[in-house]
Amino acid sequence: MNNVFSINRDSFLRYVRFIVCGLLFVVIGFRVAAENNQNVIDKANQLYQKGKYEDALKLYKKVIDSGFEAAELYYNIGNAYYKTNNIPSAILYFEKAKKLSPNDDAIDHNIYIANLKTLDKIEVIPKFFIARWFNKIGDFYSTDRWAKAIIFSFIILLLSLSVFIFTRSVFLKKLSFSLMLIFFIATVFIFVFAQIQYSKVKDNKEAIIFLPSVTTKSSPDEKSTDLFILHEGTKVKITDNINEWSEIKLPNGSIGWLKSNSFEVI
Amino acid sequence: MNKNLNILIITFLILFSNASYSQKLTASANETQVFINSQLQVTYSLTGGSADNFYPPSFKGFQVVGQSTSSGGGMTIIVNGKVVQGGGGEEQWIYFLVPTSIGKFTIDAAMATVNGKKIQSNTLTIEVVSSGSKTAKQQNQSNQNIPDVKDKDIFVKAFVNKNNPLQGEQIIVTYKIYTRVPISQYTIDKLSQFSGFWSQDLLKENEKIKQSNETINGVTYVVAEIRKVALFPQKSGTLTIAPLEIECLAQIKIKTKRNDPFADFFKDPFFSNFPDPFAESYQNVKKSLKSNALAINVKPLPSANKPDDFKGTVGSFSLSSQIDKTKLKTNEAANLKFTISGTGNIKLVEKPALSFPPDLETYDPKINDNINNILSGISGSRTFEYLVIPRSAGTFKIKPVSFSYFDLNKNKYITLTSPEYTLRVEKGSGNEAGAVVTGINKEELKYLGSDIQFIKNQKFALKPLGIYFYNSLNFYLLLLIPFLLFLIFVFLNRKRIKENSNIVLVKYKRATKVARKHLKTANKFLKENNKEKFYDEMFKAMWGYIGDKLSIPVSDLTKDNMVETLKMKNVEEELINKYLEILNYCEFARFAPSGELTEMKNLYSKTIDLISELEQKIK
Repeated sequence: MNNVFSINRDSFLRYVRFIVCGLLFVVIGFRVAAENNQNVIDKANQLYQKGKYEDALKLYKKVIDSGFEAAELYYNIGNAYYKTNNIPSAILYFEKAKKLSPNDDAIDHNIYIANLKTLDKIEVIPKFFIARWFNKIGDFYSTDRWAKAIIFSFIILLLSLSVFIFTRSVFLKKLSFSLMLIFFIATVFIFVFAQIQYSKVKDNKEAIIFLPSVTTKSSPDEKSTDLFILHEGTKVKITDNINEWSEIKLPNGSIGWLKSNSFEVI
Repeated sequence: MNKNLNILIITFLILFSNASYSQKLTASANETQVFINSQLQVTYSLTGGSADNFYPPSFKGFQVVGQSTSSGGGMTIIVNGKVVQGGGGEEQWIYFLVPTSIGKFTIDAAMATVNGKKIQSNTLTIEVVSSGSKTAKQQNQSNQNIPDVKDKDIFVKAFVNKNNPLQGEQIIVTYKIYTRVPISQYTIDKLSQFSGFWSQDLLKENEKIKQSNETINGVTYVVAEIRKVALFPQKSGTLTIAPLEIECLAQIKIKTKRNDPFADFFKDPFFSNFPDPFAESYQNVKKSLKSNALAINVKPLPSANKPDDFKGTVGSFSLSSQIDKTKLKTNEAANLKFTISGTGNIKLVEKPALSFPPDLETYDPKINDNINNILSGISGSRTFEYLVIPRSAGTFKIKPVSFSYFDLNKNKYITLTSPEYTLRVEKGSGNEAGAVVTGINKEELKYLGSDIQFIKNQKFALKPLGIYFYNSLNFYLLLLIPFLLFLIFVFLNRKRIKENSNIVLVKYKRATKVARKHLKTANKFLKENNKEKFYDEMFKAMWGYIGDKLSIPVSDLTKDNMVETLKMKNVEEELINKYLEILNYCEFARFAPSGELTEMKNLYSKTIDLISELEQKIK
């Protein structure tokens, strides 16, 4: 019986060792992958500096293919595309970078420059000022930073609440109450901003036109009336999808239908 | 005899004409003196050759009212000054002149080129006298000599090949002149107004007129088609074609009496090398002719199944289209051709309704007609050539073009459709389309010289693709865990608050703790040998403890009510006394610190024992 127990014990130990080894392996593997990717990025950056944009692109893309992303990576890819005169792709990747890092001047600048090379100039309808402010504040941080802010703000809220409940000092009670109020409102707002950013990132509502020139239709039908022409590099909002057709909306409010193969979702 | 001699001389001259030096151009007039209102006939005769060109003089002082040419005695018709039919032998140019003023005039020499050689005629001097100076008899006589041309001798008739055409169907109207007398010249006075028709002349100007013979009621006429028009009725209903009016000069043979002394002079055999124009002369007679009017009953086209793009083209047609290239680069031109060919009113075919994608630059088509106006009607082709220049890259579709017409043979509408063309446009080299349009659209471009910012070269953190912290399990756990901790805290705090609400109980529970705290401090002072503070602490410990334990506020606490309460709590008297004793001692010692260290230690342990004892007693 003792024997049997010892065998069980052994197998249990072996199991534990296996789990630990597995975990270690995963962690180390992850680290190795990250390190590998860092090497690849460094190499790509060097190639970029030498003007070998195509080769740099390949390496950058390799990192993405391995399942990682970063605003900076997308930004560099956009740069490489821009240098190879592939403007729609450049804009696509700059926009991807902007999603991950909405408050980056370099990204904004490059989007502006790349857009100078596109054909369509669309007047943007000014939004209601509150919506504009919300968007602007929302763009301060990426979703994940907002998420961290939520946690931070929420914990402070709980702490001030705790102090409020616990303390017998009138001063502390007043202080904690105002803190509580501030951080409650802050948490709610930060949640809103995080959600705005998140939906921007996740809902894939924007796309870049990739065909040199494409005519929008009034309905999802090849025979319907031609509405307006879009050229490559133009950013559109996707509002609806029917089969292979997508309803797109321009910043100036125009709406039309396009075949889904004419654009690439950001 | 006279005539025979003439012929002999002519024959002689013809024989000599081969030697090419014997050509002679002679001018002669039938009268050297004419009345202001009468006609003068001037004849130029060329002997011994055939003229390549004949240049008449200017006939100053005279007005040319008619002219005719004869050669070899055969009939010659001149249309608009050109010889239509001529023969060999002697050639004559006869001019009918009317003097314009009185006086003596010299008619300059005429010129002719024969075998490339220029020859000149002699000049003539004519005296024009006012009327009346010559006898009226002579003039009357000459007028009487001209017989009137009878209507049945010369007339014009209009024919149409179809009286009941469909709207837009080609019909051909032919005007024929029927004549039994030679016509020297004719002019169309009034062109028929083909109102309601689209017309096209089928006879070209200066074209040789075809002549034929036709017998009507046993009378043989020379028939010539003088006008042939293809007509396309533009509306339905009865349309009339107004008659054609022409004026012609008919040549009537007349015989003049030779009572003219000048003529007699010419008749002299010695001068007979001149041909005698009076022996058998032609007199030009003006004649106005009018054709019959035609009534055309135009049937409307069937309205059933009429295509939308039908534009009134009737006939039989075919449509072909052609593009020179479908793969091209931006700013490169492609040629797109549509050809509509067939029989019918091809000139009315409109350019096809082409809709080009807006990114293709196009111009109005170049229209090429290849139309044959043959006598049987109009046929041919019309080509529309479009130049297409794509300004941006992409795939463009040029939609099919349709052309509808009414087919006369099949008696129905037919719609022809061209194929659809797909243009694949690649980006041309250099700054193409973009530059063109950008220049127009984005004039306010300010950062022309700027470039994108450089890549981010510093190290950055990669995160798994498409995975976000927000909305993730970790995110919610990080929110939930503090919240749970908070709940636990609140729960625990509640219990505490509940307990806190019972201050007496708290104080009771805290009594030992407080006492112990004071004793601890006292112990500290004991070690420091600080007697004053030691006793102070001891007193506080004992006094505080008993106050808390008995729930008497320190302000109300006296030794008397303390003893009373302890007694009520059934604490033994001995214990109470001991407590009082130590309390009193401490009170006393606070103000007069004395005693040894051992005594203090003793007191300390005694107090602890006492408090422990009391703790058990007071419940």
